[in-house]
Amino acid sequence: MYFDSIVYIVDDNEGVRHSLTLLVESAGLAALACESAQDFLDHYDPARPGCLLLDIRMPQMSGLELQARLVEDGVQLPVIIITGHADVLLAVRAMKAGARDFFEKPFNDQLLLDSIASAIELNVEVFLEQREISDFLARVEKLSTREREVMDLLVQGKVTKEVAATLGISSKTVDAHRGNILGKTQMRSVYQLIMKTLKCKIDSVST
Amino acid sequence: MQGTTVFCLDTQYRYLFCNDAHRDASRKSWGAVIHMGSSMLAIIPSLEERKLVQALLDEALAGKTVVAENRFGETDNIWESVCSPMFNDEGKISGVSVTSADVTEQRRLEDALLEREHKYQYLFDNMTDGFVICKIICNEQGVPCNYRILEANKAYEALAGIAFNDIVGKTVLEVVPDMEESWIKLYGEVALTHESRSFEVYNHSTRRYYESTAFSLHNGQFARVFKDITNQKLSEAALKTSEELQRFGEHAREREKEMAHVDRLNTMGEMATGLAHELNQPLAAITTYAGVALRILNAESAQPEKLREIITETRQQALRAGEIIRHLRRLVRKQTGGHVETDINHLIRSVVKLLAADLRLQAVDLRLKLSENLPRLMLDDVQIEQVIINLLRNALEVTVMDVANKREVTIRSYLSSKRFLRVEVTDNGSGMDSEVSSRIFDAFYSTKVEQGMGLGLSISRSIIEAHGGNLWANSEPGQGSTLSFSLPVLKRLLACD
Repeated sequence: MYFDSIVYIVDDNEGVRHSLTLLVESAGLAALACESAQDFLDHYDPARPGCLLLDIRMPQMSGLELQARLVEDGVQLPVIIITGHADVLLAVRAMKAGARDFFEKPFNDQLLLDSIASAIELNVEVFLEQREISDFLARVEKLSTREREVMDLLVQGKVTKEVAATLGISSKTVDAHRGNILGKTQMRSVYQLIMKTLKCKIDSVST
Repeated sequence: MQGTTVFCLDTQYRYLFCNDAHRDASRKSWGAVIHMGSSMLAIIPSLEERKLVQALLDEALAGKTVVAENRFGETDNIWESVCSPMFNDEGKISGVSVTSADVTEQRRLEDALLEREHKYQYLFDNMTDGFVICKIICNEQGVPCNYRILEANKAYEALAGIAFNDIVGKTVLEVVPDMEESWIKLYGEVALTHESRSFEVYNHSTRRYYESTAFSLHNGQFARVFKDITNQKLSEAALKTSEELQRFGEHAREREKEMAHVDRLNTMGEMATGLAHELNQPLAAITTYAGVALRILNAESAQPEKLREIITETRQQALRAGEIIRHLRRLVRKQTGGHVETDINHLIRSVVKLLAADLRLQAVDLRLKLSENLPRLMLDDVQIEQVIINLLRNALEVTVMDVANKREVTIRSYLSSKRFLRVEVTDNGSGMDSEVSSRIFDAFYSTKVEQGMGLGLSISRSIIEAHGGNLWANSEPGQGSTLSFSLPVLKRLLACD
């Protein structure tokens, strides 16, 4: 269902770590238990969607520090904070820093699983979108210089004649380039190409 | 005792007359039978006695009355004899008359009396109690108004500090002109009513306490016996003082125990967040395990191995939670368990476990450098654990002030000498200047801004000192601090190891 998604569990308490691993696995999800923030950084796989169960109180790098590091690195993994008693202030800080949810130990396992599921669902979406973007970007990269120039002009909303006049080439040649561009980027129409480009925030080569 | 003997002799010592008592006595003393007209000297068997008797008779025949005391023959009787000359009508000495009385018993009584008198005199002279005999003097109305000192012993001289000759024969008012009337009245009552009185007096001039008994003699006389009880008084007072000190000490110890308990409760309060977190860990694990188990059962896919693993883990976690609670209860209890044989490293490790959450939160790098095979100590484990908690928490708080460095706390345990074991808690914090380090063991001194009663280190020092050890601080600003305590190693336990 969530293809290759994975739940990272970062907690320095072995019992909590192990029980959470079993819980996540019982829900049919892959789990990876990490005993510290560094352990997580060493094992994090950007190629897989998922979510992060993060304890706040940990030696060396705390949960909040790890969270800040992920934001800095542009990692979009949803974070669910699991916290000990009276860490509410810390939890609030974590939420402000973008955590998706927080649970106080001991927690209701079903609610936690629900939260994990919705976090993964969201992340998979994001992940798919990102994959779509990166796939598209990769295809754009494969265009020739001339094709890229033509694409930029088309995306700006210029018609064939205008593109031909701007580049000093024939309308026929522009049409041929358009066909190649749509083929290489796997777009069905110039309209779709424009929407995609806007979504992927691709800057034109000339600017 | 025998009857008085009477006999008369002529100038040639021949019997003119004798009574039955004399006959009887002669038979007993000399085994003699008396015949009128025969010589008395002839019946005395011993030459010595014969000469003695003759000498007495001769003196009487010479006109003198002689009194003599003698024993005769083998008997023990003492005879007092009076030999007097007898005169005829012409006034010439015609013989001698002798009366002898048996004075054996009388002499014995007299000797005994004398001996007793000597004894009393000896006692009187040598007793350590002062003894004085006085006679009450009454005024015209028969009211006692003075008394005369008749006799006093040497002890009295020494005790009263007055020479004998200065008082004997004098009245008390001559010796002590400002003598209080009430004393004279009191002695008067004793002398006249024959009732003894005992009392304690303090003499301001000698600055000593006396115990005195006054009792009546005869003829308006009374005697006072008294002794110096100053030393006894002082030792009683000293005993009382030491008892009070002991009570005070017990009270202080009791207070100290209470303070230690307050400190433990206070410490627990301050540690509550961390401890709750510590307790929530196993609880979180337990609830999660239980959730997983239910999930497996609901799925109706038989996974007994999985369930067994989960239940085993759950049990472990529940035991862990119980252990934490037990540990807390032990620390919160008012009465500690007293001295038990203890492994100091075990105590250190259990404190570290208890403070694990705090250590984690503060991101402190804790290093344990514990010497193995340390001798076991006899100590109040709860109290020493409290000390270690206080030192460790102190290190955590001190370290917080220095944000730049990575925080490190090291706990060491080692034998500092054959007789002392040492525990050191070192931090790499900002250190203390000498003013702070000299005050940290004072009660109610705290460098903490927010909380804390400032009792911890003060109580820790009391606890360590009560165990025969020492607690001290070494610190320099910027160089971190080391708080150390030493505990004596008992020889007996050393030998066991």
